[in-house]
Amino acid sequence: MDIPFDINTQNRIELHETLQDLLAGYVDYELDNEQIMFVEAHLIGCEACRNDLSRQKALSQRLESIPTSRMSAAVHQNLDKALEAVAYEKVPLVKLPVWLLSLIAFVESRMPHFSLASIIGASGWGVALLLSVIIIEPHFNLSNARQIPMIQDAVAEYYEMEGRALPVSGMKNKAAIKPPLNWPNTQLLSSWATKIAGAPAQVFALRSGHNIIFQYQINEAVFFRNPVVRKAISKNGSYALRDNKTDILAIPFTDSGILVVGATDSLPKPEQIVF
Amino acid sequence: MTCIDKQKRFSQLTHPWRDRLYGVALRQTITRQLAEDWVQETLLRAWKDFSQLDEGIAIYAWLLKILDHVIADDRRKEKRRHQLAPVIAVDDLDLLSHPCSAPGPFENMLRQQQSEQLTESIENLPEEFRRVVMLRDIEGLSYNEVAYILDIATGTVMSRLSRGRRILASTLIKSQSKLQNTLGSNTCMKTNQKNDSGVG
Repeated sequence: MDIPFDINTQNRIELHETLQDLLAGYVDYELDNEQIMFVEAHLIGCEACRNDLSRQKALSQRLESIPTSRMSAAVHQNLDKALEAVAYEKVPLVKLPVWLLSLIAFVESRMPHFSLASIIGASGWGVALLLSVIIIEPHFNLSNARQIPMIQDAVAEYYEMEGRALPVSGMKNKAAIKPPLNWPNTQLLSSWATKIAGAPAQVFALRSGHNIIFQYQINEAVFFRNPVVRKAISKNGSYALRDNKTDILAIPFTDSGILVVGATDSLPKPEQIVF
Repeated sequence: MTCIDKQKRFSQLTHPWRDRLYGVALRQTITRQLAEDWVQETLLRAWKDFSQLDEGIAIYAWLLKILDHVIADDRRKEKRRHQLAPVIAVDDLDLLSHPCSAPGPFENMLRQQQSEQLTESIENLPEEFRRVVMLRDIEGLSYNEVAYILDIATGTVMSRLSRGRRILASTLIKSQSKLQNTLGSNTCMKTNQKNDSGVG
């Protein structure tokens, strides 16, 4: 019969059009089992959709690697001032344009006795900001560490280096090498370039008491890639976990992320860390 | 909670995200100053509503939602005309006829694109697609988070993302085509030939 053929053809066209809206979900693993079944059955016979799927995958991966833009230090300071002013409610809750705040900063620099902080009568926000950088609340999770590529790579290298001599090639100018995080009674032993989750990273091996602790300074995009890490940093300022006999602490840094890896209970207490 | 404690908590939670917010803002305007103003307004509004923040909501998604409202409010003031969103199908002839549309050559073309060029192409997407592509593909948020920020269903996130990526791919392919016409060469064709001969 001709009619069923027409209906089937019509159905196939409709299905082809409908499934195009699901292709992103297929790429991102956001479809349920039934949807996956429909898409995969359609993909077998549809080259246009298969090509679209490949383009979406490639595009998504490439966009993920676009670096984050940064505000200048001056703009960060201006934001602190605006928030400080609002926090103390000495000035009305209005948006001061950034250029105006820059002007105030300029006047302050020329006239030491004039300061926005003195007008609103407090420096608490600046202090709070400083404290916020120092105070970290680690919440140790009992593993799943190996599911996060950056942690997997860092821990793998940490274990691998246990049985090897630490590289010395990157330590020609030792005095100039500063690990991003410091705490009392530590000594830098070695530093070398490595790769974490496919991106360039720098390792700092430190002696801390009787322990060797690795700090990995890693690409910010890699650092924030995992939603579990992002959420923990949102809530606690850091992400911490315990993997077998290893503790791992992830802390956001100025333009990067830091992974600290060491034996259980060997990592510094958050209040000991100096940025 | 004392004011100092509240400030400390607020700063602790929001400070790591400031530059990321700025990056998102900057992708939606060509003016750095406007992006900075949007971030400032976002943080001020966040501070104002800080006590209402639900513990279950990720701070970055919450800040992005506020930023989205800030930008929308600003644009409303400018009375920008709503762009009609085009729809491109997977079997669009313009798309299929170009050698760069094949999976391998497309991937090669993307690798050669500067981040700035890609960002510019995203900025030129119709607004409803631009926001979804940006939040998902650049910021790496889940569909649920994007849906929460934009106040839309997750199914809508999916369809807009499918269409947005398709428009973006089409735009990039077409701009590559123009470039090749100008330079009088066809790198995609070369890539194809390489691939065919097993060299590349």
